[in-house]
Amino acid sequence: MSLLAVRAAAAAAAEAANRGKIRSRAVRALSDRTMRFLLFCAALFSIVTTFAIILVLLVETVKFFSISYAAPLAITQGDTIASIEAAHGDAEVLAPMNHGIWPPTTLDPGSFVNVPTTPSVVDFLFGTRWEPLLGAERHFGILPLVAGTVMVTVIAAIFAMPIGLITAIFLSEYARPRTRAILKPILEVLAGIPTVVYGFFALMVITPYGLQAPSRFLTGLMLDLGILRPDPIDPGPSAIFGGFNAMGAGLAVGIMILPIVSSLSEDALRAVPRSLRDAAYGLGCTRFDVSTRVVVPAALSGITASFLLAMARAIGETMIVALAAGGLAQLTLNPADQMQTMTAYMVQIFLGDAPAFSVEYQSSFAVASVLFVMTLSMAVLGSIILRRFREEYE
Amino acid sequence: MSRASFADGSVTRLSPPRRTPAEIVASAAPKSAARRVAVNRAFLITCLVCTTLAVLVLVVLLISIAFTGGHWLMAVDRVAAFDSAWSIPGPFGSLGNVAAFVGAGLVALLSILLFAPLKLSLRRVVLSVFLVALALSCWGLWGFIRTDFFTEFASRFPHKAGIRAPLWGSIWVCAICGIVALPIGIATAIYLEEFAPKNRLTNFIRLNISNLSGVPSIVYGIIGLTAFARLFSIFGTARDQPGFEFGTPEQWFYLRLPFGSGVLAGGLTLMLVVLPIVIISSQEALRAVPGTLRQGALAMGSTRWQMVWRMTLPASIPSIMTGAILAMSRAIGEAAPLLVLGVPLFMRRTPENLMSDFTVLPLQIYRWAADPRQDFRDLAASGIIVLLVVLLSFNAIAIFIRQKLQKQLQ
Repeated sequence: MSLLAVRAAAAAAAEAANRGKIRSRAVRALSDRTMRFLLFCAALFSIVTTFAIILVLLVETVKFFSISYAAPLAITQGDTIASIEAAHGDAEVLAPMNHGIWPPTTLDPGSFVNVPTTPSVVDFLFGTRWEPLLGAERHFGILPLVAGTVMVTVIAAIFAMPIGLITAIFLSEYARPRTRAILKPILEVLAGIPTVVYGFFALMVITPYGLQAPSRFLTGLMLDLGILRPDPIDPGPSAIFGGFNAMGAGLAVGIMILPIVSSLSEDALRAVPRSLRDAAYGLGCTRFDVSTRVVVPAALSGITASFLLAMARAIGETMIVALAAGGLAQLTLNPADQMQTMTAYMVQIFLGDAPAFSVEYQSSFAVASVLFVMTLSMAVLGSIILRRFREEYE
Repeated sequence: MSRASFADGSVTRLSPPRRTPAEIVASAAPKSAARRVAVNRAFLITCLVCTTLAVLVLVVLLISIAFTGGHWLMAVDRVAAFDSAWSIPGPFGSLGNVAAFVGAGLVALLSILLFAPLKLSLRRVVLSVFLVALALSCWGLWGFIRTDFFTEFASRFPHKAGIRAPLWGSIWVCAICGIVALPIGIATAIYLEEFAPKNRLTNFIRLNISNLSGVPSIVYGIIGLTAFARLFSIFGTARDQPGFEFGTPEQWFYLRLPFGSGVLAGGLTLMLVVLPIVIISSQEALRAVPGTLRQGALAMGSTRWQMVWRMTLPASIPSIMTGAILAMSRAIGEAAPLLVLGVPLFMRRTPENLMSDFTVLPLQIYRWAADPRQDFRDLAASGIIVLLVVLLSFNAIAIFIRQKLQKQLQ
């Protein structure tokens, strides 16, 4: 009721304003307080969002760890159905393994029965096999997905961070205003391109023309020179890179985060006061000395924060890796192989590869929690670095 | 350390054997000026190489997409007729020439983006030349564009496929996203910049917003799925038995709880994604308003809200709009959260009400690009051209507003 009254009062105040009357002090104070309250509610919405994210991820992850699914159990000597049911609660005998005898009376050692299992947290966090969809035995060990994400992120960082930082130094220290006025919008255009476009670019241009063609040329050259021996099955020059590979996806992610690194680092560099630069120039420094010995160290906290933010974006990047990195979760260090990242797995599940509310469907929520924790810790680390190591200048 | 003696007693000279005094002096100096200048020049070259690389990537991206995407955007028979009648001499064949036209158009658009901020005396000439080039290429291209591409639904056959459903889906979803996200985002920014007391809660809200901007968009999709599409399963989970209904499916405002993966749920999910962007850009816009304006208003006896409504907001609305346009262009290109929401990838209907199923342009592009057949990958490139034209024009509008604003402030 009170809210209605407040609203009515606000409406009345607005009407009075429309009629051009001078408003009383009380009415003005009331409208001020109402608006302040509404604005405060809007600001609270972001906190609500954060808590909703944490709550939903927590609840769904707990749901994943409590779903029971059928997992095969190898029979050892002396197991009976009764003993297995006593240990695991239920045992579903797999028909082909009973040599056609039904109902099964004896269990042969080496055959399997299905018993209800729930995913374990330790296996999830430290397991090295991620096979939630294929095979009789499922494995929920997230490390292959984490490895894929880290591989793509590292490739992107190696590509984007030096180039982004050097571009930022160029824009803030070397470039004339006119050059800057041309280059800034280009980087902004690069930042505004949707990630699915970068995914298409990785799949259609970077992998075939940027990776496969040079590697095919190189292997051909090495075959001709006799460094490599021809493969008896496929004697022609082979591209080391497959159609889907972590390298192409990583480079595309690097192109995507390049404008983030360069524009945020440039902001940090430009925030360094002019007097520091002038002092260094007065001592006879070249632009290079000023940039690398004065400006970059002074802006180091901002640059680090921009790197961390860019890394967080690379970790959470979805469409590029879903298109170009492949769909095989494997623990490998070879960037020419296909790797599945955490986000790409979620895409695979939500595109309908798994029935809703099944254990593999719920596993994507657990993966999302890990992803959220990784990016959030990056963001928090960035803000801590920015706050603690910032050099304040008057 | 000019000498090093070894265990066997032999002495090895590390420095050159005989040096003139001038050389010794030169080597004693930390680094000669010539060397430092050379290093500086080498670094400048590195800078130029890196920056050129960034620009080159953009150019290669645009050109490759223009060439692969031109095919399904062009009316092939008309192009062929044009080719035989006029026989454009060109290295790429008839389709390639038209694709080059598309590329020229994109380059012209880009050049306008680039040259608009120049303070050259030549600036107007350059600008008008490129505008004329753009207008000519648009006019010339319009006759060759396959309008079927915009009016047909998705299809198993590439020559019949079009983007009608995703185009309308994108429009619906982005409209809902903008209607919800802009008021909330701008209100949050106003509260934080103009009203918020300095206390822990305010600090927490600020920290919270900066963290929210780092959350991956696919995580927002999960929140959208649970909170909007399923409404936490409060109203049941069955699609055909909604817990609450308002209106009929023929009315555009038809409401059903839970929402399901309709345009309303999609728009609200995108709202979560762009909200931090809107808030941060609006905060920056409000911060740029000089404090003297505020002090003047308060000194005249206005309340804080009157000050915001009459002084701060009008002064900052152009840059708030710039941020809003950029946020909306992010929303148009976002695919991951909607994909999590359970949006169908094959859609042969346009949305009719707030609960209708939909698909969006980036998802249609994803579906076509993930198809191994070359024809569909070319279709993806055609969709990308449409998407990029929309986004680049959004960016152009934003940059134009900013330039106008900067002039006004000066």
